[in-house]
Amino acid sequence: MRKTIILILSFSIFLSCKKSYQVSIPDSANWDLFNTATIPLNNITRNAMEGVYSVTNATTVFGEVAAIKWSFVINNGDTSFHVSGFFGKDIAYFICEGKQLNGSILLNGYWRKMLSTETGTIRLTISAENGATILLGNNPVITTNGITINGIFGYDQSTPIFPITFIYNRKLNKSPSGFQIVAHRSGGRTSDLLPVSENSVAMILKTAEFGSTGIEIDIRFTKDGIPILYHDNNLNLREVQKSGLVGPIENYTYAQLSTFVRLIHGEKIPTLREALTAVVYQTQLSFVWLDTKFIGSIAPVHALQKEFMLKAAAAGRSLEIVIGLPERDQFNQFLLLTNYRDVPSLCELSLDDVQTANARIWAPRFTLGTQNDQVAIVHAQGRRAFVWTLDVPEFIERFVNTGKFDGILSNYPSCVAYNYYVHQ
Amino acid sequence: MYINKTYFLFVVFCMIVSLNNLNAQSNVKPADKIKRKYSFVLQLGGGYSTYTAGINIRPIGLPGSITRGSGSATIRLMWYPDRRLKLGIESGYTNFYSYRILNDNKPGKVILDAVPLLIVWSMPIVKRVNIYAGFGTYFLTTKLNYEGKVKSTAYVLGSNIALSYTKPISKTFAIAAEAKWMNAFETKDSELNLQVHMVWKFFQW
Repeated sequence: MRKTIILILSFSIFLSCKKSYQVSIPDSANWDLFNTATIPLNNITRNAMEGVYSVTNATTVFGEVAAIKWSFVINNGDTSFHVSGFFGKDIAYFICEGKQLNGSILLNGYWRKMLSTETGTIRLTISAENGATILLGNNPVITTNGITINGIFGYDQSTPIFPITFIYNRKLNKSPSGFQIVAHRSGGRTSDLLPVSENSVAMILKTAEFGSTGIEIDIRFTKDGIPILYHDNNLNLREVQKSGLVGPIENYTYAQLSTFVRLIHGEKIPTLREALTAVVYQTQLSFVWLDTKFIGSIAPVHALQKEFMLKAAAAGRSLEIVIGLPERDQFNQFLLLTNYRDVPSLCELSLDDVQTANARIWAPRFTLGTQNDQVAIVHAQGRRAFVWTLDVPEFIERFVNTGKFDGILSNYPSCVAYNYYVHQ
Repeated sequence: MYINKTYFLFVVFCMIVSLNNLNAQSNVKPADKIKRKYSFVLQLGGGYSTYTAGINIRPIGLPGSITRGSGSATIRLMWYPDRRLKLGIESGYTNFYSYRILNDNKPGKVILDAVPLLIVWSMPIVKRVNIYAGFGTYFLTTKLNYEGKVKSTAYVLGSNIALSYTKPISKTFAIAAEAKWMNAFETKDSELNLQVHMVWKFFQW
């Protein structure tokens, strides 16, 4: 009898210990006042609004400081703008749309904490007397305390009731040489419960909202030689939905993958061509790191790199696309390219290898520390240094404040954005 | 998460076994009166399996032709010591599921087969009724026929749990009916098997 009870209890515990975490982006479409507003904000207003703000009323939830920045993407010829707020607590951020109504500015969207599943809606207002009149003018000059954003936020889908206030403090920190906030896997990991899948076109279009100025994407080849975006060696449930297809992705042709396989949120596995097309023509991203996950000729990737850098230039875009060289195999393949010293690359190996490849960027792993002396050597050679993959908020803060790197690769670009923009 | 769960199950399983052994040891006879016997037992069986995990193949949009049921086979070699807990290895074959598609008039078919490669433990819970629990890997094979044929394989972690009723038919042969749940948890593939086994005690000392 005792054995039977233990068995039943054990089995019950076994079944009950499976917990599934989910984050659903709350629907923010039910703010009637925002829905009545029809006039969009202009670029002058948006640019003037960007800055470092003090947070009051909700410091226990979001911290005491926020960096507010706008981004945009182009879909079917229409440009949509979003304003993001990056907080110093729990890698929290908000993403809102903006409109003007009767001399006020309204911001409506959602907030999320990346270190938990907490999320909810947020509604913000800049009234005429709190800075909207200046912001909506022709030549807004914003001084400290010049803008006060009042609003409310809520949890999950509940009606927002908790007050939050932002007071403009100063402009965003911006390096003259152009610091890169590089998002891992095109924007972040699927496992961090983001609303779109990693290494997808949808993520590329989303990543600027998370604060990214550049992306790292993982390149593999299909059986028929098409370069695609995919991180792992095998098809697995971490990255794709169940389809009955298992084993290395290189075993399948692109037509087969395109027909049978979908990423976790339903997107197709994109080709590198599709991904770069989205970057060039739909985003404001200025940096792409092509992480070579394959062993073999780099020539097809280089051909696309060259093609899309030309397309970007023709479109008036400032875009740098570099081929990542993570291991000796890829490095040796890179040296087989004609005029490889002229090919923009990022080398994760030694400083000697960086010089041999004439890599534009040296990218050591973060566990080696800030390495300011090594970075200074790289800078003296006219190169830049990026560090990967920084995800712990304390480390990100330390690298931004005491390091000399020109870019940080992270799964949490919003955390890098916060620390970089508020840095003084 | 899944691995931890499985380890947890095995820890509990081992605790139960330990309790059983403690009880068993309280009735141990003097050493000179114990007639120790060890044996190897081979089980061969087959039956019907049905895929029990969810299949939500959204990209295709034609999940109506999914086949969940199939034949399945088991081969299991057990070592029977003079203790309640028995140890062995198990393999076999099953088809988890298969489906057909028609995409722009181009037909396609996917078959997902599995060969378990598990270490199994067994213990009698009442007379003639044994429970089995296994842990190891499943060797999965995808056979895809769509714009070319592909055969692709992968090893994934998995386990199984079985309950069997054994009826002796001679000193060395028995027949068993078994219900078994196979779980390739890494790919969230699981199925229920109902099988008949021939049990052969082929070596004893």
